[in-house]
Amino acid sequence: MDVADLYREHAERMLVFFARRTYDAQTAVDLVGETFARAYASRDRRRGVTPEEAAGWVWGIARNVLLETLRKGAAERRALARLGAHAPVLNDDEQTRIEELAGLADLRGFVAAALDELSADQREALRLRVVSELEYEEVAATLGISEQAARARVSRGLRALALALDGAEGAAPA
Amino acid sequence: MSGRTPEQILAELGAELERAAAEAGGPGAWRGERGQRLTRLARPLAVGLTAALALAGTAVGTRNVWAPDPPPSAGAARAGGPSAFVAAGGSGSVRWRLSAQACRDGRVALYLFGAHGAGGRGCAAAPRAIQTYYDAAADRTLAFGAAPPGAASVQVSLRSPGPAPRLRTATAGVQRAPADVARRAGLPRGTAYFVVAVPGALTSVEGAIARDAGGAPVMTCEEGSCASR
Repeated sequence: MDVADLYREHAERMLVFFARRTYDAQTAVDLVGETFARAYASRDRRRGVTPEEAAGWVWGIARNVLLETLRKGAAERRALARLGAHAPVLNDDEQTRIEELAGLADLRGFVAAALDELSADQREALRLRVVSELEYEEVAATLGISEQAARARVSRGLRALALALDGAEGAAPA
Repeated sequence: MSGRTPEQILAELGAELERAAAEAGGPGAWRGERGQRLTRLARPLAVGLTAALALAGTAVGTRNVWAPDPPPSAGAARAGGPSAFVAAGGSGSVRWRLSAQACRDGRVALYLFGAHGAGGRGCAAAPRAIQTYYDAAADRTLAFGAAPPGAASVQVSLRSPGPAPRLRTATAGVQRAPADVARRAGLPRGTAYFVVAVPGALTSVEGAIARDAGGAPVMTCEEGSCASR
């Protein structure tokens, strides 16, 4: 399978994958473009010849692109820029259509329900760590608990949310 | 709602990546070595096939026109049988080929391959009676679908999205896959396949009507669903 085949086969699923993890349709489109621009740039280094191996390769790139985007807090577009390509800019209706395709309304419902399921202590620990971006030491001081206990609360809360999200959708192919 | 569907947005992104790749690595770079070989072969092959069709019987000629079949994909194979090219043609400078796949639920999934990209919905996607693919590079919309065996031509009305929509109606003749191709791919026998092209981005289907050779309607489509007569 060449890059064009992979795009035809995986682009729509990848769009849903990114939309459900960034909650942003425009970012999702940008990341699909970035993934395939990277795939194109590294096509000569690709190993494996079967469709499954090719799929594993391109989804591995997609996961890296997502991780870098989440770390940076902004859509990663370096390979797109190097290639000289531009992702389409979406209007409000087009963003809504992609959100519908990705089932984001359902997903938000799952997250809200999962948050409700958490204990008040876990919810507050998550809020301080994820929303307020405090260090564990500061979370612990705010809640009046040890740093180890703060880490445990955040970790359990995140695991519960992850389980809820895994239940709400299929994971990306291995 | 106005604007493009997710499929159209992805088709546009794919065309943009292919354009950029062609500028960076030459024609066919996006499709890799196999694609480049096909591109290099396409012109002489088309000339040869045209001559063969003119000189030889249609039955012999069409065996070559449909080959090779599109590559099976892991995802598509889970939802249906092998894909096969069932129609080919062109409108102006836009050349296309249409592939079909028999789905496990009895539907037939269609995929249109153009010079600048491809579009269509596989067996796993929600079905659409008539699909559209907008070729941004050629600024033409191609509407494609399947009609009952008795159909000889299909008239499709397409509308542009947005507050001041434009409407165009175009008619095209149908094509049928050779019996051996249909049998190999498990496709219904005699199904008529059509691709209608109009200028511009008119990607919403208003309606369609398929007629037999005598002009009698054999299928009408409105609001996304079709009824055979």
